[in-house]
Amino acid sequence: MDAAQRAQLQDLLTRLADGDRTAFPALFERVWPLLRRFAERALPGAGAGEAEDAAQQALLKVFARAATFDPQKPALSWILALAVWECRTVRRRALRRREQADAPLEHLAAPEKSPEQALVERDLEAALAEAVGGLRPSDAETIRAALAGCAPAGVAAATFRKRLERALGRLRTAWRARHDAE
Amino acid sequence: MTPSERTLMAAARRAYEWGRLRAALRAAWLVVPMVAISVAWARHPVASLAAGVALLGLVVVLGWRGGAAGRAVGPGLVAGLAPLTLPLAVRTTGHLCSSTLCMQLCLPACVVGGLISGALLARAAARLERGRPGFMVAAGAIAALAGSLGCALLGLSGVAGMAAGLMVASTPAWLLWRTR
Repeated sequence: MDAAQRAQLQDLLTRLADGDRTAFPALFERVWPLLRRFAERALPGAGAGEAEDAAQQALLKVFARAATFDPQKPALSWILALAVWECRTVRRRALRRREQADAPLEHLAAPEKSPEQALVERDLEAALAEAVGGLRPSDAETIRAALAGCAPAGVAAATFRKRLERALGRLRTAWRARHDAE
Repeated sequence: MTPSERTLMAAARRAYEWGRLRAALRAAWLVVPMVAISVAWARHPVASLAAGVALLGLVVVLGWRGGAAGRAVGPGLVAGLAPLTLPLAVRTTGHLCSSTLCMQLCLPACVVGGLISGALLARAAARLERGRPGFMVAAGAIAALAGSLGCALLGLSGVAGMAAGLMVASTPAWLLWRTR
């Protein structure tokens, strides 16, 4: 976008922020292709639908907030900042969707373990249980809670994190003492 | 323009209008304490409430519409603070505005408030490059309604005194611009 186009964009958005509705169609015609191109570039791995979705959301946000636009600020940066935010949101949403979709597949696609591998894993689990069993009951309880994926009731998240850190430190020391390895 | 783009344009237009309305409502919150103070102190709370509702409506509509009238909302409210607070300040110094004796102090307070208000509006309008008439009419209406919230303590005479003060201070400036 050259300087003249930027100046035109600035003028149109300033007029719309002031309540001049005649600037609306012209601003729409300039902003929509700009946002579509930006979203396509910002979301290269995403499908066309996702980029279009991000561009549409950004466009609606630009017009919803046009009344609060400060004419002292550059219009192009203001518009693109909203577009960046929407692209990030779409990317995060897509990533979350992919993670949720992959989780059951990973479980299904897990290869069968060989008898040797299963034996090694069982030995390791037994050794770990032994090491955890040698810890103080509160440390063992903290590690079990973390493995189960939930903090005990009534314990703040930050407190739990600290306790877990300490318990893992003691487990590491105990493991090293028993097996002389990390 | 494709049909989907036309639909998107309509959605963008709706988003814009809602955005303007939200911004106007945010600005209108300033009116609420002004009305609350006026109703709490008023001799005729219903009249104060009516003026307050009219002011709130005007602030929202002008803020949403935008343009010179929309820009007048802030200066109009600021200018209206003088005739709103002066009669209240006079009353808090121990004068009862409902008595005949107090009229001597409260009515001048409303007139002086109106004069200050008119002068502030004329000053604000002088800084504008265009849209002065629309600005003056809108800001004058807002300032008069805000001022009447305070001057309603005196009844109609207070409101009339304030309006006269506002006109006296702002009309010369208005006439000056018209002749230029």
